[in-house]
Amino acid sequence: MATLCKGEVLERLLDRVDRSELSSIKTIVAGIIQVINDPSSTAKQLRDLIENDPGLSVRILRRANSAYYGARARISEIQQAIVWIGFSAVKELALSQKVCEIFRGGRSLNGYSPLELWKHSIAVAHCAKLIYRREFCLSGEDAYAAGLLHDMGIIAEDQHLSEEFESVLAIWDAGTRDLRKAETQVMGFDHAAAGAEIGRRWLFPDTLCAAIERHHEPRRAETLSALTGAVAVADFFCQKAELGFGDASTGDAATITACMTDLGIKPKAMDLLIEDVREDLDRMQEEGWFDDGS
Amino acid sequence: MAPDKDQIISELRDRIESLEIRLRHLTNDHRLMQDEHQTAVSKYLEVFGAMERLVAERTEALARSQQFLEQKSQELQMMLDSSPAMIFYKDTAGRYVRVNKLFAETLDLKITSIIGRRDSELGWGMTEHGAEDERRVMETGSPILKRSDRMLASKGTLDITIDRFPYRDIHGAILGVMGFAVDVTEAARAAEERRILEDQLHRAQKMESLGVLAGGVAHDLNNRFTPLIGYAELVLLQLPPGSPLRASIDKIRRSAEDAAEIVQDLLTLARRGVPKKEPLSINKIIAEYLESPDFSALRELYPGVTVETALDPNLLSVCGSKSHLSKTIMNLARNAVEAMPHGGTLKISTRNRYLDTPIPGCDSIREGDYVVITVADTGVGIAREDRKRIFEPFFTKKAMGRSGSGLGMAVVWGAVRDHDGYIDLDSEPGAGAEFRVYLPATRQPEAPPPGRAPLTEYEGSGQSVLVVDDAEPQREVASQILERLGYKVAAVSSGEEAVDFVRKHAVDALLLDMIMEGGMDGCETYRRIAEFRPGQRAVIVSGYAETDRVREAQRLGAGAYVKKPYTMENLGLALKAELAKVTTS
Repeated sequence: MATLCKGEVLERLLDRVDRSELSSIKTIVAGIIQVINDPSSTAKQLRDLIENDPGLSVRILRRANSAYYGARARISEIQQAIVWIGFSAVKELALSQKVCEIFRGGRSLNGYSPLELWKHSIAVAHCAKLIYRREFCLSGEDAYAAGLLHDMGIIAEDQHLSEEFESVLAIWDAGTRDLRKAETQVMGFDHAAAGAEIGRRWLFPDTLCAAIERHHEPRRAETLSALTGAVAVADFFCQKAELGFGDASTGDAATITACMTDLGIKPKAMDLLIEDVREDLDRMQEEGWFDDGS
Repeated sequence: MAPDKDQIISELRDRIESLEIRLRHLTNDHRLMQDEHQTAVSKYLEVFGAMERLVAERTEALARSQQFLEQKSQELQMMLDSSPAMIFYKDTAGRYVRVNKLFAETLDLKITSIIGRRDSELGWGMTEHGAEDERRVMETGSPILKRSDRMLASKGTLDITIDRFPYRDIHGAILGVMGFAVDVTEAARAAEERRILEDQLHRAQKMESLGVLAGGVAHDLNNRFTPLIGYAELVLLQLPPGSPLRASIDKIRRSAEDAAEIVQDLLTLARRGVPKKEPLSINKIIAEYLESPDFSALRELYPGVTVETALDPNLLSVCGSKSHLSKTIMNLARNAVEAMPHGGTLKISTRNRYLDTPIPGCDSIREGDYVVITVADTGVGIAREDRKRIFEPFFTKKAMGRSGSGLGMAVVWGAVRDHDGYIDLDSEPGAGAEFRVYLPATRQPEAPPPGRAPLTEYEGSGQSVLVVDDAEPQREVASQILERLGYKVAAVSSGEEAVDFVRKHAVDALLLDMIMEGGMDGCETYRRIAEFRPGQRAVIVSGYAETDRVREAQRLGAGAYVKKPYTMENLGLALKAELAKVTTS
């Protein structure tokens, strides 16, 4: 019964997402993720991708000219942005600005707000990227994408299963503070599963879908992937540092500790990284990244 | 202190760990940034390489559209160039934007040297109405069509018909003016030539009918003149040398001969008077005329006229009739002199010329060598309206009765035609006239001149001759002349009688009139006689010229043809020659 029920509701959600505004980000987000994951992709592909979305281009250029990126010259074209703030930074910007679109609007309810969730997503993206770069010495672009998208299931639920989501939030607010439990109780699945399903429908890479699906239970897989682990660790520490909305209790620290051991990340290192993430987020906050409607 | 010490060690260890992590983090960051810098450089090239490609693409697209435009432009130019009209486009400032080949050729300029220039810069006044019309077309935006105008081209002024249209862009704004001009000079000239030819045809028809009339009269007159001259000659032979009647009779004879000349002119007009043709020297004919008593008498009447000649010593011969050509020259010279009552210069010149294009006033010519006789005067000239009529019979501006019959120029015209030649003239009233006669040249040398034969040369020696003529006076004079020349003569008045007579009495020769009223003509008579007297010798006489019937009789065996009125000399010579033919065969 439960599985059937879960399947039905999930199918309904996925259908609605397919027909909704949410899927408007699909093309560009999937495109950027492909550019990130394909070593032979070119700056021209990225540029063409971005320039096809004039609204996105304008927002990217505005961000690219902010103090955060410290560009040395006035940037008025995407190809200039690629040259001046870097290929990676533009990918990051494009991804964040596009994903940002789906966090707009929505409602604040029982301690949940899309804006806080957005701030959290940016924080996790940053953090996962820093773990990749500093601990693994990898560029971390895919970690950034995974961090940004790991909670997209919540957005989908909020927008397309609003009644169920209200019940979920009510349960969450009243007791356990464990969103996943509340979700499973109401709908038969959680946001991690929903996000992963959407990612599969949008033809995201398997590693990315797995990272979304397992970000609360990274060690359930036979082997721990670096991406899943980094997103899980980042998610945990960002919540602990209260950077944006927190969807889970800070519990299950044992899983994260084991996960960090598996990945070779020392707790001290996370302290240092989180400080940098906090600084970046503060700077972004100052520049208005998280103002409503941006 | 120990816990403090441990505490300190632990804190130090913490800080060291933090520093180690920090160092590792910075090292990793540094390494990644190095890689990313490398990537950025290559992406930079990639991005700008793409820009170069973009520039190349745009350049190529531009080149393609440029090529397309050029092709369209070429097609337009080809269309313009294939037009039979002269076409031009001008901008509002009057500068040529585009012209077609014909336009440029007509001005004898290169297309490239016209484009961008104004008429004034080309040193060319376009057309009489051009500037005004073009201004109006551009002001009003409506075309001016079928404007007759004149255009100054490299080969002279052209008559054109020109359409002028406003030259607009695709939005309808006026950019300038377009012109389509057609050269109608040739058409106008062709129309004028056609008119001239119609005139000529009309004149030829008129002269033809006059000629037929004159020819009919001439035949009768010739028959009348034959006894006049013949009897006069006979009388003169019988008169003693000192007789006071000699002068009178001689006058009668000469008058009759002059009259016969006039009749000969009429026959020339009737185109029936072409005597046999022989190679002749025109220079000699001119020289003979200038030395003739006729010309001397003329010069006495016009003492103020000087004569110049420029005769080409290498002049080719002309195949023709000496008397006709002599008369042609005489008439032209006489008219020229008479056109200069207050003196002037008569200039007669000859030259060879090869004609391959029509001369003015002639529709077509036979290509070949021609002898050109030019007779020019400095006299009163010929009015334009008279020029057409000058060759008509009986057209004369001279005082009637003073000289000429009004046939002079008509005879010239007829003679020239009979010699397959052409005549044209230039004249302005008050500025003299110049006639040019073109006669087909021949390479045959001139025949030696016949000497005048003494009477003994053409006397007979008792041979029998039958005179056949329907006119009684003709029979009589012929009989008398032949008897005087020593022949035994009989005469009959018809072909039938002649056949009967010859059947009974063989004769040595017949003197056969070709044209007889009623019954058989001379040709038929000869044919009948030849049936039973094959090889019958005969001399044919006729008031008309040599006709088909004459030639038919000659084909059957008849001998020489003698034109009426005949003299004792030419009749005698002909008969003697005919009989001589008999004795040798």
